[in-house]
Amino acid sequence: MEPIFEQFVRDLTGGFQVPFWAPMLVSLGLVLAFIALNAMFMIWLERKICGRIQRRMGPMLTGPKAWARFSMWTGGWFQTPCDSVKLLLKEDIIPAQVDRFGFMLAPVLVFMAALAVYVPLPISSTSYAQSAPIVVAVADLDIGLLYVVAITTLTILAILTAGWASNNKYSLLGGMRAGVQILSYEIPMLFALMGPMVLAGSLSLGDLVLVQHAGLFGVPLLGWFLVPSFLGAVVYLICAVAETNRPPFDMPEAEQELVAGFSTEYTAMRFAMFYLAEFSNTFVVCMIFTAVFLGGWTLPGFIPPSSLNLGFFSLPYFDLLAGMAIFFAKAYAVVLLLMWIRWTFPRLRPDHLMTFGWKFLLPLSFVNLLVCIVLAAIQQIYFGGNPG
Amino acid sequence: MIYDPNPVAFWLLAAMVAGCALAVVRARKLFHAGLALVGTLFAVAGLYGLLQAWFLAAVQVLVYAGAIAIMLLFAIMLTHHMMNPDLKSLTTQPWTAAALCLMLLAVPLSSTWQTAPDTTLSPTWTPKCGFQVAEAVPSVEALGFRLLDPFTLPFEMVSVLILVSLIGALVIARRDPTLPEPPEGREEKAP
Repeated sequence: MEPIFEQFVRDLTGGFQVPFWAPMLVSLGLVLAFIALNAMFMIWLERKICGRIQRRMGPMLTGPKAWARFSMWTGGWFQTPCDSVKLLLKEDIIPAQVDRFGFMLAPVLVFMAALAVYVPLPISSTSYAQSAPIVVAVADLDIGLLYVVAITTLTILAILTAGWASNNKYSLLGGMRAGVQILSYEIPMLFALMGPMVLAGSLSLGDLVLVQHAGLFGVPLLGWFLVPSFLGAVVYLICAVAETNRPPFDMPEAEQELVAGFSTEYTAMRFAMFYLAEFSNTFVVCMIFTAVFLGGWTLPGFIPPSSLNLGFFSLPYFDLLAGMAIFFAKAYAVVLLLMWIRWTFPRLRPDHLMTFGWKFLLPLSFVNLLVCIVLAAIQQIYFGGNPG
Repeated sequence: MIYDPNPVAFWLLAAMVAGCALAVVRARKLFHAGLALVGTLFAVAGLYGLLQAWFLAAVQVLVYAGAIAIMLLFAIMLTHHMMNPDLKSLTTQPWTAAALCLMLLAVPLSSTWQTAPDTTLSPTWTPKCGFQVAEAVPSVEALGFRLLDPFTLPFEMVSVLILVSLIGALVIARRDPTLPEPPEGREEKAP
């Protein structure tokens, strides 16, 4: 982020040197705006897809009437902005018997985790006005993958705090269920991600994408880690659904049993924080899946030019924009898959969930790791170096 | 080459470590103490990050702030009367504890005071945070090679230790075969 932003400002203003804190503030603002807008769109999409799967149309009434007459996919565009305004304006209630400190801390914590996890996610790369191609991320950390997994544990903490501080047995039960679920699914998730780590020989998400683009055994199409580490991809996707508390793994907020689980006592803005964080986390796991298993912002054998010459005008940073388009298209394909799963599977029972995670997914992720180690060794011996 | 940690960040993190640690022992509610412990562990991870030990920072968050602290909070949530602020703390010998803590503090302090600043790094440079760090960015790769080459034996011994504690937990949790079976229908289901 930093070098690109500095270069961009220098080009625009003719040599202005930005202060060191400017890139940080700008990336913070961009990520915040992205979380809010993207969550609004995802909620609309979720309701539309839910409607389609249940043979109805979803929200249709808010927004231009002419669009709604055209098809179900063009109606109800203003539903989530209206809902957001409603949530912002509602009275914020803190029940008398709650533990105030914990009650107020939990939504902040959950949003902090949702925000911090964006740091190492690479969305594109550019070689415009740079000596070597650089990865576009807030900061492409050396330990990106580990950082992402570590930060998600903050979510458990927030949910546990929310459940306990609400001083309500349904909230407490919901919080406990969420904690147990996320904690136990984190282990197969980490092992599923270890396969790609071994294949790439790096923990940085940017490096993972570059290695995938270079290909495995000299074949570019084999490079997407979805192919060599297919089991890992499946295990990761299942764990990702469980980690974000989405159905069929939404026992923490099972309505029939627990009212609304840990968020029962929350209203207005504080509830919106949980809701926003949940959708943001869903998109983040899709972004991680894209970067780790689907080749990130690259397509096999396709390298976009750093600036597009349109004859009368040359578009700079074209590779950045093309990479972003590819990346978000892939990420949204994964989002659609998750939504499809959500609306077609019934909810699991808590003990089934535990058995499934520990006795099935964990051994499966070990098998995946073994396969990846063998493939990486073959690559090392016969093709030299790490894949690529 | 010298890497200079940002002094503002260092003092903020240090204050957070100390403040949260104080809150752990002084909090009236056990759950708040647990939360404060997470804060301390997080700030320590921040200090590791400030010293560019990224891997250590991530592992600190993953293992301590993530797994261990959450297990602790689980245990606290399962105990009764947790919302009762009149619960007496178990600290019956605060002065003995304070003396022991001061003794512990004396160990790092004495080593810091007795050692002259390492002039091999830079003879003219004065550290802003009170310490200096050589700019040898420790990569995960280097750490992995170290663990598997010169430090293989300690590394493996740690895994044996974990195995021993696992077996120990199993032995403790196992139902005593000499005891009678619990009555039907009261048996605990899987969590």
